[in-house]
Amino acid sequence: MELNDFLRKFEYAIEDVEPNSVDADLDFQNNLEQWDSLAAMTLLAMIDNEYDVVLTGEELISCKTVNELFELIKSKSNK
Amino acid sequence: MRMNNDFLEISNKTFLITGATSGIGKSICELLLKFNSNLVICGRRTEKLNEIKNKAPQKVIAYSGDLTDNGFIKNIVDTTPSIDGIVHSAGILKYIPFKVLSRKNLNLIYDINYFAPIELTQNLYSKKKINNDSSIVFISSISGITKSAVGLAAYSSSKSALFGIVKTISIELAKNRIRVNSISPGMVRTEMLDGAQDVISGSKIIEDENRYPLGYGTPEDVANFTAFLLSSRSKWITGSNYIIDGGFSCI
Repeated sequence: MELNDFLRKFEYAIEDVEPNSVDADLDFQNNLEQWDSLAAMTLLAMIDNEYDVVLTGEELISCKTVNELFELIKSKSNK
Repeated sequence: MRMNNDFLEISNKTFLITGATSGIGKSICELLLKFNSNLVICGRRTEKLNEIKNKAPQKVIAYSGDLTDNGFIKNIVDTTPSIDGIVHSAGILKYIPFKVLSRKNLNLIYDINYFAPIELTQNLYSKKKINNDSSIVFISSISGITKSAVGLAAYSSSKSALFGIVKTISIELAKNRIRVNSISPGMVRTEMLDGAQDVISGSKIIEDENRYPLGYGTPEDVANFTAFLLSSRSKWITGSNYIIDGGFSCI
């Protein structure tokens, strides 16, 4: 699985986030205006759809940056 | 005239319970065993099935497997004794916002929440394993009828879909005096709620529970009413849906 591809999917999952506006080092929980519980729910579902990985809410919020999230998914994925 | 203490008269009747290993299904099993009913229980976790079976080994037959597997259903239908009722309690809930709802997840949820109980019931009925005067209960959800929530499009619609089945087969099966009803519980404290807490924060759950005049329910709250629907005391009730939700739908 590829980081840039993940960044685009991340942007898509969250409402009103401009394409190509998210960097891997973004602290998405604190520095993303559009972050809310719906964003979290959509992200979890997107990760399940795209990577066949089911994360818990706790696992998601343990990630400080988008890159950490990417690495977590990668570690649980077979792809 | 004195009332017989055994109001329900369900002892020594045989009931098939799906989703028997946890939550509402498990609570129904425990209650029915207290009334000395015979049980045919289905679930995916063998050790949990055995826990129930060990409470009354002579009264319980256990089938371990996945109801989305047609072979498993066929095995149950071929080998089960005749039954006097069914409780369809097996089901899954996933929070998937509509924007990212995939066909794969729709299929997953519908396979167990909707297609499996239909297939199981239809096979049991056509193979004449459901006695006359039986009672079939589908566990639906208030999200299927009154109040849904963000992320529940697939779950909620799979539960609403059951109402069409209930209405229609209650008419068709009436000639055998087989009754068909559904129960729509509000939020009940089960593993399904624990799973929800993986996705929804604890504070939101507390906030949600405060919207219930009588708080969240327990599996026993649903089991108690299910026992009544299984009993011949409810013999004139068919094609109906029962909201059991601590008053949530009224607000």
